[in-house]
Amino acid sequence: MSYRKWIFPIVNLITLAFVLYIYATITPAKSAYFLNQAVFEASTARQELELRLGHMKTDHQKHLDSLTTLMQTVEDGSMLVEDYREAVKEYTLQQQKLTETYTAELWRQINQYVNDYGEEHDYDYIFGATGDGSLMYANLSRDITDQIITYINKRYEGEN
Amino acid sequence: MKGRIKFLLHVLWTALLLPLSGCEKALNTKDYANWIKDTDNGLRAKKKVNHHTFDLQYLPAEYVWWQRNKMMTDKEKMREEVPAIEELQYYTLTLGIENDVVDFVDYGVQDHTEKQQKLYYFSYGFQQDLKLEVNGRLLPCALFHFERTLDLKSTRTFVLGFENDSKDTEETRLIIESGWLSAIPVKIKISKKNIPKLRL
Repeated sequence: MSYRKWIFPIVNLITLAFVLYIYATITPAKSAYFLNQAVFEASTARQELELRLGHMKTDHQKHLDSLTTLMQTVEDGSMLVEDYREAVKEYTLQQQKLTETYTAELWRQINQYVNDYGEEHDYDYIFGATGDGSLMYANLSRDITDQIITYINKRYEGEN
Repeated sequence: MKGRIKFLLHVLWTALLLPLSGCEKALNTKDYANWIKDTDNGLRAKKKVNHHTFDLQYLPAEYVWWQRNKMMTDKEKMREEVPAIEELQYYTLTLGIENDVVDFVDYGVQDHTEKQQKLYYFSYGFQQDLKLEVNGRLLPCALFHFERTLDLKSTRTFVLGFENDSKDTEETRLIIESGWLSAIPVKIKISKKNIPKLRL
């Protein structure tokens, strides 16, 4: 009977499919975690932006200092008090706005790069540990903070 | 004895091939164009930031010459003219929006006035926000051209030129600091290693 020669390969195929199915269903999801704050702190982009913010604050302070000197030297310095207050208010607002913009942009970039890292390394989940209780326990062997820091800094510097 | 002869032949063969391994390969025009456009070879790099796509292409001097003289096959002329082109290093930067959902110029603008402001910025001001990092030095963009294309593409291309005083540099980095694209700098690295020669 000719169909007999097909029985063995078909049974093999079905067994293989079954084994693969079982393997796929019982293989645990690949997951890891990283420390959000540590990544943020070690980000090259953050360090560069902090430097920029620092320059901006220095410039603002220089202007405020010159206004103070002017108030002390001119005859009716009290007239300048209002200007001084306005400048302080404006500069504080500018610095606050820029800090918020930079922070939002940095987190957006970190999210994007972590997402890319996960895809490139076949992760099912990567958790960000913020220390607020959202991730209560994780085995240290699953900590990929250092790898994430290296990866995001490389990407920021333009490497693919 | 046979083994010794074999060994000597092997040494001789290696010695003959060794200098050749250092030679630059030469490619015909079609293969050359494909080679430089292949992102795996380092002369082209792509990046995504904030829904924007960045596609940076370094254009070797021989490629620039060939683009300007496509019908010409005069090797001597190429050899004469390439050094002048090499005074600058040329790049094209193509900006677009992720998944081409909208035209680059229309993205992030509320009305016609804002669109005009964006166009004006990318026609003139953008040049000031581009720098090339070479060996730790930041070079300003010396040549800038916003290509006005009459097609339906949603991307926009800029031709950029930077001075080229260190021609052997194997790595450069374009730094874009434009509020229209991202609040933080966008850096794109180009690797200029093992560039083949153009065979006409």
